[in-house]
Amino acid sequence: MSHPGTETLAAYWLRELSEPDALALEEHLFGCEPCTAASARMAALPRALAFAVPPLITTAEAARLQALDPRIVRTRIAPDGRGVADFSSGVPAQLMVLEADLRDVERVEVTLCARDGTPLLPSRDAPFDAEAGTLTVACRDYYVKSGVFPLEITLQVEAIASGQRRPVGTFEIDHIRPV
Amino acid sequence: MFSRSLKQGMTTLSFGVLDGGKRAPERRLHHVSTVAAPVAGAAPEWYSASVDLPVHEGEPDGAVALRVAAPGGDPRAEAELCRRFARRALLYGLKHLGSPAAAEDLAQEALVTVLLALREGKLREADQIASFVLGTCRTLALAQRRKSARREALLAREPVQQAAEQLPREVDGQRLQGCLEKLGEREQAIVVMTFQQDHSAEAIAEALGLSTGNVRVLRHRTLARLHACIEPPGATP
Repeated sequence: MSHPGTETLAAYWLRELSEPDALALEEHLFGCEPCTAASARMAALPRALAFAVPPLITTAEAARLQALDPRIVRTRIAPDGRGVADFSSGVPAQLMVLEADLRDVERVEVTLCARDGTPLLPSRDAPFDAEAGTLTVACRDYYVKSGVFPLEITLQVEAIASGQRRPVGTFEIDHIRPV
Repeated sequence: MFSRSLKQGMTTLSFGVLDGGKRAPERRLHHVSTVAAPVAGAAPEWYSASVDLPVHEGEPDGAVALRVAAPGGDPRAEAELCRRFARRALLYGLKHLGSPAAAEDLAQEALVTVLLALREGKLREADQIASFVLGTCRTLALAQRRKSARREALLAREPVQQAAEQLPREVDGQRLQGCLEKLGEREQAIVVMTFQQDHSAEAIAEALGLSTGNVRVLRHRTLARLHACIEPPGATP
């Protein structure tokens, strides 16, 4: 067979290729290094997509990420406290659980800032767990590696209830780079 | 037992010990052609001298396999063969066994089996090496054998582990984020529902008002787009 197209590789890794086509593709892959490289990238895509989450996630999403990689730990941070997201083991994500009184809250705003207070990324409607009194931050390895955000960040959290805005607290997160 | 190596440029001269006129199995990993001579006080053991030739990346798989199968073996060719097929066998294991650990076991066992088969002259046509490795993987996947503690497993372990460690790095997470943002709303929804919410094609079809077949086609296309977007320049075969 000739070099497969990427849609064929996608169907193969999604287990949606017919058996004869999959067998023919495997014959080709075992003899073709460039196609093996393309297949490896396609094989890695679903897992990478599973971790391609926004910085603020729901409790359920946090549980899903932990199920995907048991090395992911949850670190609880009290208001005005600090947590460390350690990526030195090569883990793809770490979870920071911000503790806050969120009873009767309609909306939560979170602003990711540099440690000097410079705002970097606002979230006007962050997901939160009112019953548990938590917001979950998914720290990702590629943000740490790429330097998109500083290693030391501060999250400023405000709650909106009955049209009134009130500060919930500030939370510091320090990141340790992957080795 | 005694072993020593002297390196001169691309040529390695190795000295090993033969046991009873036959090459000791562990020595076979370290020699190519042999010039045997008796050694005083070591009878019935013998010293042997051998020459390792460099392996070129562009060398066809069959040629590398031929060098592995040559009398006396070829350590560089063996290492190159393992390097080339480690990722292919690992991916096969991932696809058919699911678990990364089981895939690593399968890939290691497959490479060991192939190396031993080559040394024993069981592969008649060297240019069929790729099919031979694939066939070995198929057999092992069906049997789901556990890895052996044989010495050859050590040789296969490192390239397999390297291939396994490399796999998550195939995708640059930040680049992927940028690629995701370029997708249309419907494609983004399909990605999230498939890979982050584990919904079936049927459930996605119902949620988006599409046919199941349409969802599958869109998903293949979306993955192909993302694949092209994250692909390093010049990587397309």
